[in-house]
Amino acid sequence: MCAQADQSDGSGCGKSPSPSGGGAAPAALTIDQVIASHHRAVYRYAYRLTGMAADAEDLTQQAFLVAQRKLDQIREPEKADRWLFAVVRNCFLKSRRRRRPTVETSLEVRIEDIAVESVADDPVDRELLDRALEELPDEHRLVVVMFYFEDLSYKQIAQEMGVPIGTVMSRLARAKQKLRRHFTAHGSTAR
Amino acid sequence: MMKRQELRALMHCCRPDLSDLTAEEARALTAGLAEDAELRREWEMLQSWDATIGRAMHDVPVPDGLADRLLAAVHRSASDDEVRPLLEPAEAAAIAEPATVTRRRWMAWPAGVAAAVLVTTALVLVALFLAGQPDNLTAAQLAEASGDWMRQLQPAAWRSSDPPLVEFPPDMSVRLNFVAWQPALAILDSQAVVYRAELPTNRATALLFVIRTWQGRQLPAIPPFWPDSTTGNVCVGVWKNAGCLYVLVVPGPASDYQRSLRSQAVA
Repeated sequence: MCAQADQSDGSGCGKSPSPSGGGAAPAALTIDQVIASHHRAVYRYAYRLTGMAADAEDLTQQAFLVAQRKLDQIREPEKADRWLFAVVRNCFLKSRRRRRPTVETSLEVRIEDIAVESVADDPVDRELLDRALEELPDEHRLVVVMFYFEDLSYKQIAQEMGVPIGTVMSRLARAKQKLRRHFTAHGSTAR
Repeated sequence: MMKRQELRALMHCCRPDLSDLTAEEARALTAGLAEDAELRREWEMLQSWDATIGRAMHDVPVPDGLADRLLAAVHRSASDDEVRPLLEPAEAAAIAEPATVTRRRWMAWPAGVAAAVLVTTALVLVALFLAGQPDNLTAAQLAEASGDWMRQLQPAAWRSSDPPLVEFPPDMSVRLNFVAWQPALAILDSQAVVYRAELPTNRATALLFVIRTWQGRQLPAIPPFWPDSTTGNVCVGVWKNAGCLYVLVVPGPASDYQRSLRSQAVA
């Protein structure tokens, strides 16, 4: 369904994703075309990961600089966004590890402890969502963004991140819980 | 039969169409939702929540001019070959290794200080070098130096054809009729030629040195009406125009020098 990020070292910008697509003949893509077609989506994705406009733009630029060097790996232009998302993810993880090398804490969660607050189908306040995402640990935010933004399944997330499915399920469940609690604490579930 | 908490775990992670689940998981969840009203209520809320957040995730304003800045960055990077190898495994491994990171951080300080010292030293040396260059010479000093240049001229080197008028154009301010030229390579460490003319009044020989150089920025752009030097009954005027430094040497009184110039083109 989508390009798979090469996560063999589990690190960030250290690797480019594997080629997007299979045996199709390489299209003569130019970096200008890639930027024109995908810069908005890539920026939005980067913004959701970083929570900061300036960081998002830096990350977006990094991604396209990588794309410029690895343009030949993008064999199916329509799937280039997934490839670029993977690059953004890797760069994000790399930058975070450089800034704050932390030992991963236990992320296991007892699903049965998670309460499901009532949810309204209202438009989400943008700033509230920004703050809620900002409060999540990087690992949780990454899973949430992959789930909601990229629309990946938890199995695909596990595969791309190179972590067990159970870990992804735990992170996703806990992250969703934190998001809901954030909205509830601010007087609205989805507003 | 799956326990309730197992079903809830699946609910939290799967997307609406249950396609993320295995056939067995999907059957179990479907059965659980059919039997358990509370579980069904949670499922519906979760699905609604996911749909709402999923839409909101894409609601990010894109800054104006982003595409242009990205294009500029990649083109600049391509032209300057400044693309850092962001994706090299060795770098990622270095980041993942705390000891290496620490060592490199400590190395970065002296390296940075050393680089700063080197840059500062280079700037000082360049400033000193430029200060000692002829660019800081005055017109009078250049006029005086022209005596040495004349002594370097070779009588046999005069040529009467193929003057390098493009590379070393005689300034239009000078109204002498040049009859010969010769290269004079040792002037101000720059390429130069000298043109020779005969004055109409006394047939004395006048010279115009044309030096293609970046120096002499402080000099006037047109020839001075009064010569910069009159030493030894030789008048010398110095100016710079269009990348060429001109030194006009006219023997005799200042009036002869002045008659060598177009009247409207003197300072």
